[in-house]
Amino acid sequence: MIYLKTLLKVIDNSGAEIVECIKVLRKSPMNCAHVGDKIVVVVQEAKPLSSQITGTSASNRVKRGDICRAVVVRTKYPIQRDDGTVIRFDDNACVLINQKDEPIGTRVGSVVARELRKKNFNKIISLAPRVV
Amino acid sequence: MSFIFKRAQSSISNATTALNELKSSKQLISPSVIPYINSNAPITSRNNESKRQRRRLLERPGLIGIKRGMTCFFDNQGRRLPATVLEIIQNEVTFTRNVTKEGINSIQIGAGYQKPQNVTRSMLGHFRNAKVSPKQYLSDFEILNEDNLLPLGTELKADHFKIGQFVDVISVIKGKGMAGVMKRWGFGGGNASHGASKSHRSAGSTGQNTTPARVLPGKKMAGRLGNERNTIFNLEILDCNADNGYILVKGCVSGSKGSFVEIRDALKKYGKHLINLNK
Amino acid sequence: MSLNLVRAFSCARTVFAKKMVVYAPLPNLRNGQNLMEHIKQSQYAKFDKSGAKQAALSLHNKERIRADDIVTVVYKNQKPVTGQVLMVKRAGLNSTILLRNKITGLGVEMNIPVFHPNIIRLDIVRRPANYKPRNRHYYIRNSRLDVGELSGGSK
Repeated sequence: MIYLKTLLKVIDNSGAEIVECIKVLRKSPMNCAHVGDKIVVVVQEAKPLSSQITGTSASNRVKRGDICRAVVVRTKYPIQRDDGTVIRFDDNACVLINQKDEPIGTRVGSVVARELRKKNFNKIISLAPRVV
Repeated sequence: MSFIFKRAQSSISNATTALNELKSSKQLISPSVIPYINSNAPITSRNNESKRQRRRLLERPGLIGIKRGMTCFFDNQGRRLPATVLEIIQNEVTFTRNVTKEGINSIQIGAGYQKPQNVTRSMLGHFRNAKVSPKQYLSDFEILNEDNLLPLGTELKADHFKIGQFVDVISVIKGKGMAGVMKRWGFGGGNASHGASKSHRSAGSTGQNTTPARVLPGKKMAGRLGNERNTIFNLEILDCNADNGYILVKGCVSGSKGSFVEIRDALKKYGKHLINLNK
Repeated sequence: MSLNLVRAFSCARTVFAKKMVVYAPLPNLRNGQNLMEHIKQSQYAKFDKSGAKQAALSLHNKERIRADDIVTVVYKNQKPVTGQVLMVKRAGLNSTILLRNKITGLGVEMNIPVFHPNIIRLDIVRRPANYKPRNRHYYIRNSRLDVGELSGGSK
């Protein structure tokens, strides 16, 4: 149930901490995003830029106020699977992606839902420490 | 009927040949120059026979079931599906009509059992003619061909339907009694606050002023809700068991537990028009 | 004329007074067993041959799964799932248990249909010393009573 103004946690190392949803892509305005759906977000809180970070991760850092795309990886709203299992997480979380649907960051911090595999976000699945 | 049909067809074919001749000539022709096709007005005959010809019909009758409740069903792919249990008992052919005599091909099926002392004598005679027990519920199923009429007293079992096929289920919705417009028609209602007085769930305006000076027919208003026949189309058959007399259909069915439901082959998938068959 | 009509009517009455032939109904199926009960039993016979899952949920069984237990669900085709039971829903074949666990510090809840054919068995990993006086433990979410990071092996 992610829609306009929803605040989500960012679980990658792109530098963003908390983002706000400003658009759910490819859905009618009355609909909301679930796991695996793409959204447009504004970065509300970001980690401070430090000189220690170098390489690709430094060039991909995002700042407060940046607008980027993201994919929802966990929702508080229950997800029902085909086998009848219902799964629910304690928070709403996303991973920032670029225009080609590849993750901006190089790491994914915590657990993600299995539904991402159906939507071809295999990179995120392989980076995640645990898939439920 | 068929004569008129042929005439209509021939006039159309004449026009199309004229068109083809025009197309075959190598000149470039603007679309506006193409002559009109003289087509006859659509023939809609209102007699019963031509109505029957236009109706979408099935080749065989359906069954009468009793809704017993819902359960879940695990299929071969490991999916959990909701399923409604429909009991098929005492389904027998009680009466048939044929097109030459009654103008309709139909099979009347009875289901359930009623004590003879609760049945009128005229109905007892009806059941006696078919040599079947007194039934609780009767229903007519119209079919395509006279050849497919079944002999009286034929028993129909749950294996009439095959697993994986689609059916329509017709039953009576639970009565909701007198209902307001919000529940009956999904109106928005009024404000909960901001000074709203006694109009939180009201319908609002019912029309204009001096013109037309009346409420137009069909205006959605409060009234009786439910307690009417409803058809649910294209439900999949998940399981059927003739020995134990039940079928499971995917999803839900209107009506309360213990109510009679009519189950037929899915009309939109398997139905045919006689008018198309006769062409 | 009217006399004739009356006669005809009375005559008809005598004919109607004859006993009507009534045919017997078809034989009862399932020896008169309730259909829903029959379906429940046949589903149990199909999806729970050993009766272990039924026993795990049965109220008559003292060793049944209760809220506050820590349970591991073992699947045929995927990794086992462990968690603390928040709730047991008894609804025939549609019975479910609600498991809560923390993975990397994040609460994850799964409502699992117990009789699903891909579930091999349910293992009770740990039982509490004293059960709480409730059957639904929704209130432990995000409180000091909340579950820790549970794993299947810990006993």
